[in-house]
Amino acid sequence: MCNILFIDDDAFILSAYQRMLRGSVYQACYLQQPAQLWQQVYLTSLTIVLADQQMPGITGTELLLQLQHNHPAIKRVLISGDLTLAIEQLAPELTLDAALAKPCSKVALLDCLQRLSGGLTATT
Amino acid sequence: MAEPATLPVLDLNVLIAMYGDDSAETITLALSGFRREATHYVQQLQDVGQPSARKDHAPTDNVQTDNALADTARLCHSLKSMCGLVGAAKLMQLCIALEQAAWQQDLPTLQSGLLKLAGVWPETLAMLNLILLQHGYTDV
Repeated sequence: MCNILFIDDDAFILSAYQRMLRGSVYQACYLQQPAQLWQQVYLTSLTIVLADQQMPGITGTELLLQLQHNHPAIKRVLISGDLTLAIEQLAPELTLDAALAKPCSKVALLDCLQRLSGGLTATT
Repeated sequence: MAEPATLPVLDLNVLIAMYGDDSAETITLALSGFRREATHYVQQLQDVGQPSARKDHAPTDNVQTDNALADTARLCHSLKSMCGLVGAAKLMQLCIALEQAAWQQDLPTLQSGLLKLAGVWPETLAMLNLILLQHGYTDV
């Protein structure tokens, strides 16, 4: 069962994250349609959700705010190609656990996940 | 900021650093995936830049008449991130300029950038195919 979820409408970016996490201890899932988040059977097992800011229909910050209301225990990470602007436009009630610049490297991604997982070693 | 002409078309060191992996398997997976997705994005951008069939339309009329500037900016924004993952520096620089021009509704700069895309994309594609071949990927 996955405990980390990446949400991005771009399949190529999701495949890059998948490649970066290959051989790591993290059990990740990948979702291209943000609206489908609430139908996922693994939703309650998630510990971290990483969402891209710019997606059709809903922004990453809007989605993470909904997640904060519905599942506050799940940690929230925003990924954005324009992080400064995204942070400036954050809803005041939204709390993020981390933010990553897009594109993010394997090193940055694993550092972030390790920190949010309480120091869980990144590789097997 | 470096001029596009001085930037590498494709810097494999960037890809290797981003993916944390220099294996031929990862390089071909990343570059073939990029080629497939970027082709789709570039096609959409080229459609935006195509002159209308009507003679009184300028090349960027599709952008104006369809009020598609925001969509163009979003396309460029996404393509920029993809370029950043694989080190397609020249195309990435052009995407940055196009995105900015689209958000600022700067049609002359947008038109000029879309014309440059007609040169930068084939150059990027040729380099992608060359590196894919060098790494044993035969579907080029």
